[in-house]
Amino acid sequence: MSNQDRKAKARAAAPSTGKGANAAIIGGVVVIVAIVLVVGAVVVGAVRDGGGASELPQGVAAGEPLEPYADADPPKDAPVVDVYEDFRCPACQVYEEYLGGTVTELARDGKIRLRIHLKTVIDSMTGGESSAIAGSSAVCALDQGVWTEYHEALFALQPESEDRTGFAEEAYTKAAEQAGLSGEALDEWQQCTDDGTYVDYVQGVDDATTEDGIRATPTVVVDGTRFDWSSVIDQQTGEVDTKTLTEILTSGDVPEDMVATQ
Amino acid sequence: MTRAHVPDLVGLVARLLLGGVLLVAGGLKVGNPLGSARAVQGYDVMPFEVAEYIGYALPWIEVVVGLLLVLGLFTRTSSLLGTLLMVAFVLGITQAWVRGLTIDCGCFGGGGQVDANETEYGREIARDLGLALCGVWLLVRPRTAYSLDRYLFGDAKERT
Repeated sequence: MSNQDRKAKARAAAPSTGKGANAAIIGGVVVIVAIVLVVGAVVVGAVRDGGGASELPQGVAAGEPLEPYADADPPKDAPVVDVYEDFRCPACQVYEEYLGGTVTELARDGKIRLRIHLKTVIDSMTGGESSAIAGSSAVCALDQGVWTEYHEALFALQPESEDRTGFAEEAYTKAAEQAGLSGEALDEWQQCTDDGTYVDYVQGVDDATTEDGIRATPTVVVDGTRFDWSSVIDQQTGEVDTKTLTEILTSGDVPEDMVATQ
Repeated sequence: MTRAHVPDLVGLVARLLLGGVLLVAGGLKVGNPLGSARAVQGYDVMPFEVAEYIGYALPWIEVVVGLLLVLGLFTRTSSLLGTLLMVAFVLGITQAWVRGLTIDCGCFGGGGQVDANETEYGREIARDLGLALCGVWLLVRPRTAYSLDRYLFGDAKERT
């Protein structure tokens, strides 16, 4: 190869090298901008806005709990019992099965102020929105005056496995019928549930309670103290010490050895 | 350039390791934005709502950066982003450890509170530091074997 050839080759190569460098820098910038745009669009889409009808339960502010038995008009100094639950959480089903009845009775009698915080813990584990939809359907049942019955029926229909699908669509209607809804009331409840009316509300409650440090369900807080509710269930016989439970809830005092540590 | 040099092959391994892990980690999380948000919130370093948005975005960022690295496209830029991600993860996990939080890193889904004896901070930090080193290698020497960069831009890319 002659000297001149070499020079010519170098000249020919030089500009293309420069272009390559520019292309790479521009490419890098383009990549970053593209990532920002794509991710931004995805995030906007992912923000939980539920869509459709989005309402707050009557007399309840965003993020605040339900008081299904407010009509019992508990005295001002009645102990406040906060229950954090998710219709899809297996331990919640156990809590409901063993203690639910007693707690409901005390709330109905106005001996405690029961506040229900509907959470979506299982949604955050499996993806999907089944916990939020289930919670929404329960608020719809509250609108129809059958909270207690629907709540119990839906917990009993909890899906065996925790997966993205969650409750089958029919489970809600079945629970509503078991709760005694029929005719116009059933139609109204169905419409309310199909619209996902309170899905946003339930997800908002999960946000608010998580921010307050309540991450697991079921959590029972009696006058501000976390109560290890399983301690009133005899692990051998499965019998519930209803007397102790009633004492704790109505006094608002959780004995030290029954305070939940977390 | 017809034969891959050893450093090019090291670069290839670094690319596939960092990119592959990011791709898998992001892919496992994209379907569950709420879970990802809760995992980020578990670190308790950002305002609650900011952490929520970061949680939504993170899986997608990981997928895109991981894909670029695996393909070897815009290697320097994507390895910079990959390295920054790993450094951020190491810092996040370290502060959780130091503050005595008991969380799962949520790196591949999961996340949130775990029992004190279930934390794996040491292992998680070691893994992410290793991946950060892969990123640093690529940052310093983005030329790798079997990359789209070389296929598309030729050897010029080496110098940028």
